[in-house]
Amino acid sequence: MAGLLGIGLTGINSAQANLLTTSHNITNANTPGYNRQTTVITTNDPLFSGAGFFGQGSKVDGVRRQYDQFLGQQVLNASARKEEFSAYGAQISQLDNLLADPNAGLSPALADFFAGVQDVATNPASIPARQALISTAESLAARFNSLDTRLNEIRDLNEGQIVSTIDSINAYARQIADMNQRIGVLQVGGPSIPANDLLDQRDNLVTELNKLVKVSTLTESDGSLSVFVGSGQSLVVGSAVSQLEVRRPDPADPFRGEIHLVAPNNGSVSLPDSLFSGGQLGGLLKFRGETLDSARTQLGQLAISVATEFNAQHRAGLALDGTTTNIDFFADIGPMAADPVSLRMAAGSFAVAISDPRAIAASGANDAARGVAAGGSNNENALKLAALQSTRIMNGGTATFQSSYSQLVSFVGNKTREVQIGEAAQEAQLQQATDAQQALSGVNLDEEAANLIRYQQSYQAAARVMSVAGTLFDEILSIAR
Amino acid sequence: MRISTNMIFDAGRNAIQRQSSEMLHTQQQIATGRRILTPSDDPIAASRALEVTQSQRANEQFQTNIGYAKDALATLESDLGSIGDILTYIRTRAVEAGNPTYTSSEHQAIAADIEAQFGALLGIANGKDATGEYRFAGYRSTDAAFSGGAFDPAAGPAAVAYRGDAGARSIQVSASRTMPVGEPGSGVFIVVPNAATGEPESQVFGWISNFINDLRNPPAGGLSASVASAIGNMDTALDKVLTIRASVGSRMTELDALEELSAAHGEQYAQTLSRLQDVDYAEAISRLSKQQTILEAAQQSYVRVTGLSLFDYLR
Repeated sequence: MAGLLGIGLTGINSAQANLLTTSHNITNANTPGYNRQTTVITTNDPLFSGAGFFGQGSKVDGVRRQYDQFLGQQVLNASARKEEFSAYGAQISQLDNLLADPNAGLSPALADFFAGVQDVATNPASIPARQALISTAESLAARFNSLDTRLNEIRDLNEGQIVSTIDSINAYARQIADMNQRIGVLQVGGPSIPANDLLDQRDNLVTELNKLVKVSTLTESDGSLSVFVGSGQSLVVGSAVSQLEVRRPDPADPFRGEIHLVAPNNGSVSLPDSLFSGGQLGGLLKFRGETLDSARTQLGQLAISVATEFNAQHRAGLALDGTTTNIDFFADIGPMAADPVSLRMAAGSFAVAISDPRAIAASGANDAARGVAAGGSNNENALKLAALQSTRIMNGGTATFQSSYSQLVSFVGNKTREVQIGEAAQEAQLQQATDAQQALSGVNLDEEAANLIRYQQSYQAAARVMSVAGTLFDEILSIAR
Repeated sequence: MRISTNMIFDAGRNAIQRQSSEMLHTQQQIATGRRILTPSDDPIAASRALEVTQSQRANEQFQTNIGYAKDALATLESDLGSIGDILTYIRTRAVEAGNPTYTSSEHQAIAADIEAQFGALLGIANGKDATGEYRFAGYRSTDAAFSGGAFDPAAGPAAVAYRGDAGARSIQVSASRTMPVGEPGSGVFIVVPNAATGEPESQVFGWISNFINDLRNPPAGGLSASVASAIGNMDTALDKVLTIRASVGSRMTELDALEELSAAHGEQYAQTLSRLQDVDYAEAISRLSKQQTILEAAQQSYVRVTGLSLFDYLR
């Protein structure tokens, strides 16, 4: 009877442990990073008697979390790629929107400007027509400048997000190192008796960190987790943390941040952007390197070409007085093409150089052979200026000013589409990986409800065993009475 | 496959979000009438639309230029008509002057008449256009084209010097055609350098002046040689004017053709643009109602599926 009572007690204990785990699962069903837990119940060692082995009830062997390293890694990989595309997509959609409205882009300003040139060609001696040309040129300059300003704002936002992402990465790295230390202290029995909930929390930190930057991890023999970025640069080893840092080493391009890894011993190493391929940081850097720089360069090139080519033709002509020549129409920004940094900024320096309508060089030169004089209603140079609109000057003589701008729009549009498609594809992959991981580790409340009934019943059954033991004992006592 | 409760909620939520975002896109297309909301919707069509718009704008500019060119050529054509009339009239008067029965007083009257025509011709030669520029001065349109020509009651008017140049202003009337829309006075009034001074002088005015002088001071051998030479000279001048007038006429015909072509191009550009960027309403609205059906189904199934819970049966 003592055995019966004892066995009943082990049943109560086991059912209680199961109910504990079940209720833990129920309450953590929505906890991010939580992996459902199960209580491991085994049989007690049997008691040998001459008639054989008698079972001694059950015992609680441990609490295990339903976790698969492989499935977890798949989620990490898919999530890093998805986050990269998301961050890239969020940035590039700003460019896409900027170029979306056909009435707000450069196209209408460029067309208006050349319409102004045509008007001067038609009415070369008309001061109002000349004044109108200067006005349309100023709107063209304003459009170039405002596009440049907007691109600079997008750049500033991009750089700001790089910095704040790095700050978050550092914070997560410190938390993971902290967690390593706490897990080491708590798992006194060694890694074989896992502190499930802390491991979940640490894994969740890695998941969050991995959304920011693609990391690889390695579980050390002492149960601590080492975290690496880039091509294996260690971010966390045990409780030691390296920090990422944004530095701005190029005085010519003071807005551009470069990423350095500062080790715990303060030694630092510069990490090229190409190392970060994954996570939001990867997306931000890719947008900067692939799209933003390229868009700014293309716009800068267009600004320089318009100014330089128009100036070259304008300098060949003569003003209304028929004598003044070699006049720049636009500010000379040609030298900015020499260096990639200033080339990106050229559209911001695009400006109209002349203010006197009489200075517009619509006239061709004196030509005694043909008996024509310069100045007045001589419009020979204005016709040549107007012809620049349809001349293939850009990209090695393959594109007009307008088609060069169209190429910029189609470049950004195509890239945005590519990123959107990539994002959708990675989202689907992440969904699949998450589903596979959740199928194993996620909490199903119906299942827990069923377990609740089941373990309640086993509790009741074990209690019944004890009550039977009590009744039997009473029978014995009643004999003695 | 084992399903976790989160999977049920997430899958439902994702489906609703996807449908909502697609529906919003369609709604925006319908509201703006634009198929391409951002270049990424159709990068090729978006950049193509920019180029077509540019061609459309250039085409509109050419239409404006054609208008200018037609106005300028019409004025020139009417000027040339008046010049031709005057030259023909002078030629008729010269033939009359050759009548051997005419007396000196009749010659004086003819001289006075031709002198008046000389003045009228000089008036046309120094005509201004609507913007105050001298029509026959070539590129030097800010100053009077011709100077001199002062009347002298005893002789012919003074020599008429040309102050303009040989420039003929051109206007671009199509992508590949730049058309001259003026004629310098040097061509119309046959300007050559003066033999003595080298200064450019109009032969037409010189010829008329010489004839007036001869009428007033008949040469010793009589007027017949002067009359013959005046008739010959007027024929030469008329030939010149008629040649120019024929060329102006053919240019005006060309402009009419270009104007029609340009209008046809404009139509095509508008159609291409519409095809590239306008939304097809019938398609978009049927797509919207399809998306609405799917979204409603997603919402209802979400409520149904997430409403199932075993806990509801635990009492």
